[in-house]
Amino acid sequence: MAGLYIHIPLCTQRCSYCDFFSTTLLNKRVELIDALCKEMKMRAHYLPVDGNVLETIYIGGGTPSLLSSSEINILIDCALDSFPHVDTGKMEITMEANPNDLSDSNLKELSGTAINRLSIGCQSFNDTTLKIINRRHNAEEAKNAIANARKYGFNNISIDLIYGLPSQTIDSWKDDVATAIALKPNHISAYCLELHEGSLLTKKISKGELTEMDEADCLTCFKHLREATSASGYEHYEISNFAQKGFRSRHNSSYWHDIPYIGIGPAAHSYDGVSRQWNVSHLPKYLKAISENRLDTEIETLSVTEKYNDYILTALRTSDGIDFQYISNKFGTRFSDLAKEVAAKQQKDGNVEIIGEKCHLTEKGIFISDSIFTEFIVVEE
Amino acid sequence: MKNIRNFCIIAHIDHGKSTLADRLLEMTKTVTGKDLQAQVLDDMELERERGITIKSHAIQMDYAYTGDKAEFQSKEKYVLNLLDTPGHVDFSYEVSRSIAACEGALLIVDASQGIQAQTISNLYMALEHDLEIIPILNKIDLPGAMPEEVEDQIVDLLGCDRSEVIRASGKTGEGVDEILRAIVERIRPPKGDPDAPLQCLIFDSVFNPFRGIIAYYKVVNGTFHPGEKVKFVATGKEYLADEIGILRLDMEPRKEMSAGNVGYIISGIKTSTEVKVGDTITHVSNPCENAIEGFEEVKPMVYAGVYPIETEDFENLRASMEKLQLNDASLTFQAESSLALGFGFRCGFLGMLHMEIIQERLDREFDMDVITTVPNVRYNVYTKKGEMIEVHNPSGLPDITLIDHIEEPYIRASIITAAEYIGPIMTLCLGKRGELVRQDYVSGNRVELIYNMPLGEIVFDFYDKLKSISKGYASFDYHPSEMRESKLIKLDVLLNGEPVDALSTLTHIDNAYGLGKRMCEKLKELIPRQQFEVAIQAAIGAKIIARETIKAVRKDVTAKCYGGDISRKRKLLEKQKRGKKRMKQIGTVEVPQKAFLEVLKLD
Repeated sequence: MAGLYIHIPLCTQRCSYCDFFSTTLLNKRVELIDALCKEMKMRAHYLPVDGNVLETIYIGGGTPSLLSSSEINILIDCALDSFPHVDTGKMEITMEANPNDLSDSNLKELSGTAINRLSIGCQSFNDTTLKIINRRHNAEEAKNAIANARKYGFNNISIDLIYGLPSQTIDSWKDDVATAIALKPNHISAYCLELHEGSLLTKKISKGELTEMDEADCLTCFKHLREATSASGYEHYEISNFAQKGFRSRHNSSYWHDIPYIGIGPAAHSYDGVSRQWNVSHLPKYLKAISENRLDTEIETLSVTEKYNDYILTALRTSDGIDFQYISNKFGTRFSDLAKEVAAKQQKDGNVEIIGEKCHLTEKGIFISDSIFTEFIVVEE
Repeated sequence: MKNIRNFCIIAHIDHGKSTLADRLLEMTKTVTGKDLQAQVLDDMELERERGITIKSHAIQMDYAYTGDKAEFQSKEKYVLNLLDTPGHVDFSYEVSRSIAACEGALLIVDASQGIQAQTISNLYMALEHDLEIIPILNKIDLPGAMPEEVEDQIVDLLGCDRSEVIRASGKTGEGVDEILRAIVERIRPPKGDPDAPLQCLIFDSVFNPFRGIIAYYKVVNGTFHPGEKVKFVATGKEYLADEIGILRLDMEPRKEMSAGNVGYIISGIKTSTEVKVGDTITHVSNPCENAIEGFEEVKPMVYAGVYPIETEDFENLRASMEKLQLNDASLTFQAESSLALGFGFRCGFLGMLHMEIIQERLDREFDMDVITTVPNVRYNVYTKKGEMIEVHNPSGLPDITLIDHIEEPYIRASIITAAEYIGPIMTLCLGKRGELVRQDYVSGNRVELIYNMPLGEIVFDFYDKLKSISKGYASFDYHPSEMRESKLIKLDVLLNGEPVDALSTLTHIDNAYGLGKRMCEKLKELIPRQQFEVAIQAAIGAKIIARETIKAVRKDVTAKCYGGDISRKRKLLEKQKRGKKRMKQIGTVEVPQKAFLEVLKLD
């Protein structure tokens, strides 16, 4: 199996927490769609041949919901045309959407495309908080968007939430979670705020204009989220992801299970099982390269150690965890022996649980997972 | 002999000594443009970077006198031997031996900075040895130069005539010709009897991987030749003089070296400690009656533990130290072990700069990543049984119940500064247990403060603080004076209840509480948060006198990790892992290596 990611780096305004590559150069849109299609043709033979056929397409951003349904159709048709894929009915085709782009008319149009999964960027259901993070929708619009999407036949809906934001409290977060669950999305991605260098929020916090939620409160929010979602039948299957049965994100899961993927568009990353590569994070440079029939991309070929490290920091994010047998087969016993040794020590500290050949993070371990990954990974001198 | 001139240069760091020396070498065509790396004499990378001279050097120049004084007109060229000396207080004994080998000195003073403490103390040393002083006002091309004012200082200090001061610029070459003429005209030729029994004064040595240890000396009396048997008086060792000669840009062998000249001897010496600066070389067959005066065994002033980060690197570290010692006989080391740091060495250094240099050379030349502990001085500990034990490491202190009293080394310190900084400097010295002995006006508003102070108080952050409170306008010099009884106690540091021997210090009882508190605070900054809470405590014996707590990490998680984030995340975690590998595990607590040294850099 394999996945395709298409990056639409366009936004009408920037959210204050975001450090993803995007631009407000909306006038480049026609050129962009052409270039994306052309890149798909150029990468038509990117995937290794042995059975790697597309099962998922993910249109992310940026703000893909700024695109018209005909533009979306062009992209999806081109993708299906360029790459081997399973039967379209069996594919998961996701698009990220802003709540206020999901009006009746837009949804009607969207329902005519091949998109069968919507990932809606609600972030919060608190208007004060939404304003602080510079979202262009309000809580009411977010709630309506979900209900409307259902009305137009979308029965695989995911929503994004963020906690740890300035102005948020444990109580306001509990309200957010309750509101979210009441809307019965099939999938919830709930992210603890990360302050990225260069984001507007980081600047405001470092200037003292806004205050970050303290660590202990973030942890309380996280624990509440786990309890509440689990009580409503959601499975906590990755650090920040919760799904009703059968609704895990197939596309994102491929990132955590060492499955190849193709990334199309500026700043998009691709992985063929051996090397990773990423396109230039600059729209005009990207467009220029494609117009000259070349890819402006950097390539990193992974050593065994790096592949092992990648495996640790992705697989251990999931509730399935890492598999010592897999490590031994794929990277060698040097790595599986080390992983077992570290796992045993981490189990003593209550950070992981080992079951047979498998090992996954505990609730305690999840919130300090980066330091646990650091224990497992290997660096060459 | 009447055509030989031996001279050294006295200057403060950055007053332009090496640049001016380069001009002398150029002007006498000792070096050509091709050889002229900036600052020929500072040939260690470290020396050039820091702008200081660490090792003594010597170089011979030929000079055709261009002046108009009839008595110096000569068919033969003059032989000028420049003995370049280290300019730092750590190396004052080496400086004294170089001075003893000369008849004259160039006193270089930066026209924008004026006279500094180090300059004065070396100048006094030169005057004691009856050297002819040629005062030079350097860097007169600088916009900030104050030639009149600084000339006044020089005239005051030397009691010389204003016309004797030469104005020069190493940068533009101005005045360099005049300096060369003055060397010939004013400095007397060496005395000494070529027919007397041999006496050579060793002022430095270097290690050559093919030739062994090479000693640099001045022939004070007598004459000698290759193939003769010589004896080093202080060590009593005898050698065959395989090769002797003079020092140009490279060594140039000679068939004969006689009184007044400066040169080198290669005699197959393998161990640097056999060549002691200040020792006398004489003939085995016809030895001199007395050794040259002024020889001292150099004793380390400062001790610190040097430990490999990885325990298995201990033997590599030993090999590296041995190699370093070949080049630098003043470095001493002895194996020791620490509960916290494992096996390492207690090293003796001439001073703090020397210690820093060794640490940097270990890193650069031997790629040894080491932990250096907080330095301390040598203590004489008297037990109740009346024995005296020399202690070089606080954790080696006998049990408190067995100690009668402890003596610590004192220094006499000289600080020269502008009058407006006297207040804060006095406060600083008082905090370091200094006793003001004297306060003199040197010239204008420049004041010299003389203090008696415990050496242990200045080995650490005294320099830095002095510099910062005086905005750089204070210079400092010291000489060891005596051992004095002091009320010293051992201050221990505990991490989660475990004493960390490498963090123990000896301190005066009056400072113990304040120090303990500040050390805990500093460690709280230096030790990263861990997965559990870390208690940092300071203790005297069983009594805890201060505590700080490092809270456990509650949140260390990457919320989003999709396609594009994986490489970036891996690189970040790998970087963290590398940082972690450089930490020392003390009990369950991971401590960064720099913490062992920086713990006492208190603000």
